[in-house]
Amino acid sequence: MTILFLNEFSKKNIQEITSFLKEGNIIITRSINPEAAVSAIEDLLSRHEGESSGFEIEKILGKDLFLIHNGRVKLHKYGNGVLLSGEKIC
Amino acid sequence: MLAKLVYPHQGNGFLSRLFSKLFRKKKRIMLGVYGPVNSGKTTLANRMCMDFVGEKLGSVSRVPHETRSINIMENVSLKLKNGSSLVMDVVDTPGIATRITYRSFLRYGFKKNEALERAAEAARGVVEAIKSMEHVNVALIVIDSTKDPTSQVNWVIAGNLKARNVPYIVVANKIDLPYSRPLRVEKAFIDDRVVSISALRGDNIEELYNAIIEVAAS
Repeated sequence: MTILFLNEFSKKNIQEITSFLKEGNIIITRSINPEAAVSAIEDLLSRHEGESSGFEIEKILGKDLFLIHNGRVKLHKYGNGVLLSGEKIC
Repeated sequence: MLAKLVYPHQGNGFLSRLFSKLFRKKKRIMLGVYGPVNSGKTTLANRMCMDFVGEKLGSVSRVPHETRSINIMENVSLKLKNGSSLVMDVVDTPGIATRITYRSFLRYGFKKNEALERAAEAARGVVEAIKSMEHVNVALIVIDSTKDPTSQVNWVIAGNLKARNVPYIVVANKIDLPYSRPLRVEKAFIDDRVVSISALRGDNIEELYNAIIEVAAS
């Protein structure tokens, strides 16, 4: 599993993001463009394969940091920090 | 002498096109009903259609993604006691989710094959719902007021409608339930128009109808 840090989830990097998520990697970003998020949902769900598709967006540490993953990552909050753990193969 | 009556929208000039656009917009709109799964979109669409047409639009279920394709009721004539009216096509859409997994259907007693098929249908439904945003004139974002309104799905729907310049009303639904917290929805959508209702019982539904007419006219 690889973590990609992005300043912005924007329209420019939709393809990069969807490919990265499909491989089971995770993304941490400071901001998400809603149009880009919808395009990515549309892209991933229109190629729905097998058991699941799409991604989850969770806020971490306040409102300006987001975790995007394929649903097999658990986010645990510990005081001022967070612990990310993967379920089977992320 | 009888003058020939010419409606502005019958000409060919710029003004006539402008009038035509304005009149058409006010005469009939396409109202999209959006929201996350199981927020009460179909219950609300049914309520509107029953109130003004006398027919239901779709079936309601506790199983998520029960509405798997778009349902449209055309020519719903919304007429209020105060005399205001509006004709609209009500578009009930499948619940929008960022992720769909067959496992969520197993909990409701589906076998694995059925659950996989349901998940694929649900995914197609979400894509259909997203595409329909391009065609609606006014939208309702239906939110279950017993749940956290700050979910990313709600935020993504609102952000998209904003980006497409589609005016919307946030509907804090299910206020008939004991754990309903419509004020939390109002706080989460502080810059937007929020109307609290119970689509099931019809509580405050007149206020929503008024809001739709106002937003459609603006």
